[in-house]
Amino acid sequence: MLIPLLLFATGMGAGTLGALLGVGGGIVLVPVLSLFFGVPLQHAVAVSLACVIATSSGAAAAYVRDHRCDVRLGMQLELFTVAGAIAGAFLAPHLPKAAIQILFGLMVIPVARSLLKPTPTEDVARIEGRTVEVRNLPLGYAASFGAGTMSAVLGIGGGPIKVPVMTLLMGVPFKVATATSNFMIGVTAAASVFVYLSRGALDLGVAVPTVLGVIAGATLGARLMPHVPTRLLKKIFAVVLGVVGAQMLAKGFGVDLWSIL
Amino acid sequence: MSDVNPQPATAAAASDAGDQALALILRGGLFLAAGLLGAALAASLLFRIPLVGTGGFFAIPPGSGMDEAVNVAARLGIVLLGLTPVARVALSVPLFARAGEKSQALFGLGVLILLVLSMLLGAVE
Repeated sequence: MLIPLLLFATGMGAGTLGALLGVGGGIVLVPVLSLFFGVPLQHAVAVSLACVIATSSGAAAAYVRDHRCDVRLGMQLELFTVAGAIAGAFLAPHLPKAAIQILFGLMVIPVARSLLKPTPTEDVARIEGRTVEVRNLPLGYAASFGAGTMSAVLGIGGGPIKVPVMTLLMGVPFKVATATSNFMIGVTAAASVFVYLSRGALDLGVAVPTVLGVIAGATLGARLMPHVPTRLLKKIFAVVLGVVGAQMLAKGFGVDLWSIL
Repeated sequence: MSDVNPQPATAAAASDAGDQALALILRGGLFLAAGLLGAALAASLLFRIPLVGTGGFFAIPPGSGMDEAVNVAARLGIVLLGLTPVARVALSVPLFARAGEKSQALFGLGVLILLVLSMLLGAVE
């Protein structure tokens, strides 16, 4: 009885964080499931993918209804991200993975610093009309393709790349970018979760309570989002980005960060 | 913040209705999945029925009818959860087309085709 409750609570924390930041919550779930619950890594990743869908659907339902995410921009970028992910899956064996991991880890520092700078659209949290005004759309498409490729090569969710791309490159307000990222991330995770299901790598005993917690957390996060100051969200996002960057640097240099911890 | 794609009022209304339909699909799919998963978890805890750890997707454990029903409900919940964003993309195609947003409908169709392709190729993990 205690374990399902703890899994539910873990899922709830990950879902709330994911809904607020536009990330899937894998950054919390995979290490916690592996280290504290002893779930094998491959199964932890599969559960995390199911949770990404739960975060995405739970948060995006509220964000779409309340005009907080840009459905049209999300669907355009989604096309390039999914194409990039497919390309990445096929390119991965031929790319210098360690070099890319180190490069990504190093890029995190200037990206996080840029994100923390105030922008004129800082307080915008809703879409007026059908879509937000964006700049560098073709570059955004290219970056989304790159984000999809990087996600597949590095094995990370798209959120930590998509949100900075939308905010820094395309001028999308931060809260709209996180909400739009939430709208997008469920689609690629859905394709992946079926692959894991068909291979029998999804542990239902772990997945069911965790996913239920994530659904509750994502619903809570979507309700909290309008009331959380953008500055605070950006700071938390920068920390999350820092953790992902540190993980990538460690992997690039052949160090297993989690085993050290 | 401005509307980069101004449109007539009726098309705008159809467009907004389309957005609300997408939200409804996401919410509906999630609630149905949560209902199935919640029922499976409650029954599993109440009657001490193990939810199958791993094994093939259709590998229902040998046991009573109750064991089978609980595990089928849990699996259906996960499948429904996975189908929800895919259904959202599929629904967006006719919705955008009806609202006169042909390019958006094409983007949706493109995503759908790539998703099916990626699942068939087993490319996305």
